[in-house]
Amino acid sequence: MNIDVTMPQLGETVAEGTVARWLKRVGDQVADQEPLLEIATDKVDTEVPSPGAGTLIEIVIAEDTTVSVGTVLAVIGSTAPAPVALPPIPVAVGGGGAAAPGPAASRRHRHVHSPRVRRLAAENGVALTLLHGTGPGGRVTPRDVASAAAAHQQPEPVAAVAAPPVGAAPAPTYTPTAGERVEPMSPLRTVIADRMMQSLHTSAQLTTVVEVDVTAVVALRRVAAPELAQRLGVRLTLTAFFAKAAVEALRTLPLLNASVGPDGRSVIHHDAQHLGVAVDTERGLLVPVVRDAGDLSLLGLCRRIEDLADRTRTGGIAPDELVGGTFTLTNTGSRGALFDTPILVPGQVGILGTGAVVERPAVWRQPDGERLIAIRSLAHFALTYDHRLVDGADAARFLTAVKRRLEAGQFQHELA
Amino acid sequence: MAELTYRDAVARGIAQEMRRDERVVMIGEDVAGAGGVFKTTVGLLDEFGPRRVIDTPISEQAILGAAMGAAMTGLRPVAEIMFSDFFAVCWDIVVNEIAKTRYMTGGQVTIPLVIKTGNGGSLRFGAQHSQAVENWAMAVPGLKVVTPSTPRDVVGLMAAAVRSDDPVLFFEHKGLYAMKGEVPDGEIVDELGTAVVRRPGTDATILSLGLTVKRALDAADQLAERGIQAEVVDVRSLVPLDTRTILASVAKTGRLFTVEENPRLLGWGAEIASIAAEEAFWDLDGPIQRITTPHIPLPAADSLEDLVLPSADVVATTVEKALQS
Repeated sequence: MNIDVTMPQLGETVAEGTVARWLKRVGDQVADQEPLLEIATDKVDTEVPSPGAGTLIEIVIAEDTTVSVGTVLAVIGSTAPAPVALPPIPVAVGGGGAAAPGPAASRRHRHVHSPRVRRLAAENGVALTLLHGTGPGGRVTPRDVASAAAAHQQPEPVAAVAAPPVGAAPAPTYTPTAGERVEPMSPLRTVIADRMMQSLHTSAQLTTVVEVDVTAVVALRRVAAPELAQRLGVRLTLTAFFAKAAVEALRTLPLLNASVGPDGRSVIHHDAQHLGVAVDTERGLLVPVVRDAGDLSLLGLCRRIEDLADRTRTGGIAPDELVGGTFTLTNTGSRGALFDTPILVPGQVGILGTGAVVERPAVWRQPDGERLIAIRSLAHFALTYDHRLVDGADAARFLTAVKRRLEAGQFQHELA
Repeated sequence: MAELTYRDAVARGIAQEMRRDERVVMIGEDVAGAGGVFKTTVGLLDEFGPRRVIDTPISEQAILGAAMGAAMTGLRPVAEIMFSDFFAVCWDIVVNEIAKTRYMTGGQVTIPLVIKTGNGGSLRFGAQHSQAVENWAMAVPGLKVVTPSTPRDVVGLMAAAVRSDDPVLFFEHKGLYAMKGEVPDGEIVDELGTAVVRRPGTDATILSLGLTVKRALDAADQLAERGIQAEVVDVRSLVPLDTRTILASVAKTGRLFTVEENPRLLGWGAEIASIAAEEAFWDLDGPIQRITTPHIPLPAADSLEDLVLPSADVVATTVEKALQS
């Protein structure tokens, strides 16, 4: 009996995966549950174990090929005896027993795109992985694709993210000259590239910058950090303060926590604040999501961000933990940059970049109103927002709320 | 415009052609004096006389052998096989002789012959007198296969069948004989190989044939109440098959369902599903689904026969469920 090895569903929202590397060759013996291949999904690499013991008799999907969940990747020839083959259709035998149900129901995958949807997406340059399906079980319907196509009207189809277009011409290839070397991007790099272009093509992005005096929280952290590390095992970071201030500002200005609907004519409001936190890894930039960040205390945020960041760097992150964010925080200052203009995560309308904290002489107003020049810890906070939904005044209100919260530095009760 | 029963429409169609062309003759068991056991040839003997309306012994092989010979030698016979189940006893003549002669004589001999037959279930006639066997005929190259679902189509398609220079198997549905419908006055000539959209819709294509046309239309009514606009296509002709109309409907709706009276394995919808999978794959927004009689000899008991033939309720439920998954 032959066993099909299929692209697994690695989390509710993952629709496709890329075969990164085959660990076995055709003809190799494999044991049950022995690692068979590596796959890369939207930002996560993982091993796929063999569903049974036997001989690898066919590799159906080659390396670096992206296929939908449920697609047959390889065939294992099992050593188990073959069962009697019956037609998978209702057939009454002899005296007419009950009709056996066909396998259709069990094989139906909720997030597989239908041929019609794939064709429409390819024809219209719509990236299926970025669509919110409105069909049963979140399935993307032809209508969803049509709405997205009408909404985007992109000058250049983002075909790379969409399903393989029907009969599409191959992408132009580059012939290297002496001293040059051409290599394909890694699957993750490809995803990042497509996402970034998709983001810039499909939203009206601009960036507003404010300067924040973080002297108070720097001092607070310096005092509290050693004690917290010893007492609770928490490594208190400035990022946690920034995240806390940002999430609180999102609660008062929920527009920054919304999304533009796939039709480009509606607003999707999210009740919860799911905070994406950009993490620099050896393989590239990943954005794990702190779910329900609005419900967490400063220390709760701190723990969650550290846990997610650690697991993202070591590869122990689940695909579901990398999607579903409603707003993103990126610490652009970690390598010393004063500020940059972050690019929105597709589907979100705001991303806050926090620049390097530097000590500088600054005009500082004392509580009694007297001004003096003092050594202050300053940082630039840059908010990129989608001008389709968010106006400059909203962006400024958000940044001002974050700035006031951090400059006031009233976090003592959170650290008690 | 007259309201005719389906059974009266059969006689009207044959009479129309017999008046037009004296080479057209009617031959079969009890078709003359009795007007047919299903009363589909009433009045023909009176109008055209015993030389053109001929009763035969109870021998399907004799009927078709005589009809084939007549067709080879200049007549254009309409022969009747009373119950389509009985094709089994004369299938050699149909498959090996009637269907092949034009080809095996290099086109020198044609067989302008219509074999009309009472087909299908729903009348409690039991497993040996209720079969829908149009799919048998569909599997034989050299035969045309037609199944009208309305009195008007009976007249028009009978005329088209009689005028074909090649053999046509004309499947009348026994369960529809009592149905009434408007039939225009005057000569009616339809076209073989054309399907008809009986009800336009946008959400799903339901293919139907013979008995299942009305059931599919009733199902579409139910679905409309639940917000699903189903397009019902009456396939009418299996050979030639109007793939243009069928695939255009699939291109519009993205979903394909067939409602077949044939037992499951290789019912007529299997072939159309195969064609659609091959030629309309990129139009499909979900699996093609066939709604058929299960693969069993048809039971005679009322409750069981009603249970196994595809009903409007089953069609509506199946389509709705598929569109919501």
